[in-house]
Amino acid sequence: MNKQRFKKEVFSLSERLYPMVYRLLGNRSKVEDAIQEIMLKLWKKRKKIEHHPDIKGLVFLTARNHCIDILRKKNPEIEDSELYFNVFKSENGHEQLELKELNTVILKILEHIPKQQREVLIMKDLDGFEFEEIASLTALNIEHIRVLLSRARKQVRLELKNNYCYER
Amino acid sequence: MKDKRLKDLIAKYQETQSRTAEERLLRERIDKSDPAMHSWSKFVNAHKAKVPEQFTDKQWEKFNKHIASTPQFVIRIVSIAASILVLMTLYFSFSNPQDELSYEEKASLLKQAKNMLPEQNQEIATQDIIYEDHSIIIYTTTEKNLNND
Repeated sequence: MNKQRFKKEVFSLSERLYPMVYRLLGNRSKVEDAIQEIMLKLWKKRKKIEHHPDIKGLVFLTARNHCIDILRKKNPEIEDSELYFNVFKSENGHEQLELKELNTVILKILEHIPKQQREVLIMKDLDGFEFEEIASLTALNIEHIRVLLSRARKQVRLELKNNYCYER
Repeated sequence: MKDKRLKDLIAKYQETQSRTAEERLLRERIDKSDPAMHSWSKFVNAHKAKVPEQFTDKQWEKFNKHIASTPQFVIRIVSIAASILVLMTLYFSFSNPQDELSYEEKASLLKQAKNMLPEQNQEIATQDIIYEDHSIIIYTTTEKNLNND
């Protein structure tokens, strides 16, 4: 794989990786460094990946594993990368508090929905992946992903409604 | 956003039939009239990172500089040159005919060396040891020059 093909088929996916890497690492400069490292890893393997049947999937998986490695170096107890969110930052103290509370509530809801549903929900709504991309990452077919996603969205909505009623 | 349209969008979103643009619109426009959707949208908006402008181009520039500055190319050239040098050294040290003497030259040198020895020693053809201990050796010999006299 030459430099131009690498740029077109692999490096151009940097923007697609950004939301996921940012969610996991939570800092712009860390994200930039991590994406550079991911791309260098892939560049070194360019001869092998040239004939890979799903280059896009391979790039996303490499990126996810790289971020998990970084997180585990900092905190070896991290097991579930889907549930790893950086703490909200807001200049407004009241808003910060509200967001923190919301974060706690939603994380609790996410903890209680099945792992596959949660994984798909976060990939679609937070990391911004398309169905085909999620299929590459999870090795599931698109129809199955739609079912999982629909169930997850409905479950989150229901739990949030219950939570809202309870608060009132 | 009108209630009807909002409800339709939420339903589409729940059934995973909404497009990315519609989901973005829903997250932006949803208000507290639907607290569950509003909370989820707030959560998503707070965690979803926006990609900086020209991110890929800037990253590529950095990446390109990095791969160009790595000494891969230099390492390759130096290792090829070193290999050639080693092969040349081995070739010249084992195959230089000037350093090796021919058979005739060796024979002539041996003859020269033999001539340098005293003649007497050369004349002693054979020695038959009669008696030998730690202090004395008794032997018999035949001398050719006696026959000449």
